[in-house]
Amino acid sequence: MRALVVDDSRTMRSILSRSLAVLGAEVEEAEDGAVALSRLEAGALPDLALVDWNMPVMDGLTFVREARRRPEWRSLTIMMVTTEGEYDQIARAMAAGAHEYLVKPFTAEALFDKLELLGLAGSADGSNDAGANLAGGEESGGGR
Amino acid sequence: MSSATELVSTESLEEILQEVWSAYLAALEPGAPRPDERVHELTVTVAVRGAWNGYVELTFPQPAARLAAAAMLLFGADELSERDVQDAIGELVNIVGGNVKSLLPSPTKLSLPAVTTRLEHDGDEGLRLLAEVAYGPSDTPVVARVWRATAVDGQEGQEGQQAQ
Repeated sequence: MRALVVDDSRTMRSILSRSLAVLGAEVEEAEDGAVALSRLEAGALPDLALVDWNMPVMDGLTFVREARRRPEWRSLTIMMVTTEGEYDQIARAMAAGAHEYLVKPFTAEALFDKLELLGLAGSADGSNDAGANLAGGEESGGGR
Repeated sequence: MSSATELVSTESLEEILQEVWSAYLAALEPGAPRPDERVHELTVTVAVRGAWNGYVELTFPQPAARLAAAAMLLFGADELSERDVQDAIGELVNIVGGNVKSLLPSPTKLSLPAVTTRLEHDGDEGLRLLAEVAYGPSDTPVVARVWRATAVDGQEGQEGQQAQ
């Protein structure tokens, strides 16, 4: 799997990239939506984009809308990973073209569960082992 | 106005902190702070603007900030730059702020995190402390605060009345 992690926080990009690396993913990072669009235009299309909402320059919702205007990027699976947990925000993101939504804080297990639902991760058994190393916490996120 | 105030309580703030710590800082081992570091604090805030106005603030003793950043980035504390530390605690206040925001009336917007000085009760915005929780290692707790900017609320209310 090839993935693009889009978040203005280097810390969060690192957490997400480590989680995806456990799954064997090849990960690229971008610090805002505009940089992410440039990455998509410049290289091979990844399978997955994990996208924060609140970012400078170009926010995540705008990125999703821009990406969905490009038919050649239709195969890109987009998951919002954000603190924006209100129902209407989730609805806006899904309407714009996001496939899934994960609310921060999340554990690696919660991320893997979402990826499994999208057909982008393997069994939960392996995921849980990996998640314990990354987060060490209990199940959370995704449904606040 | 009062119903929003009741939604952000010490209990709800503590619950959010517990969830954040469990997700990202469970591996954090309390370390004894050096006495000369104890006096230094880092404060990060996010502003909430819209149907409810205020701030969410986290104040870290310097050692706690470095330990948190090290735990999130999986770096040794000595390998961290100041920028790493600010980014990590900025992300923590962003997450705590986002979860506080989800308790508030909509619509509201969350600002990007800012490293700042401690907020004060007095000032043009009429800040009122709604909740305060000390969380984390007992020797270096992080203090989370939620402030309501009552004067900004008032301004928005007046504007709304004029518009009607």
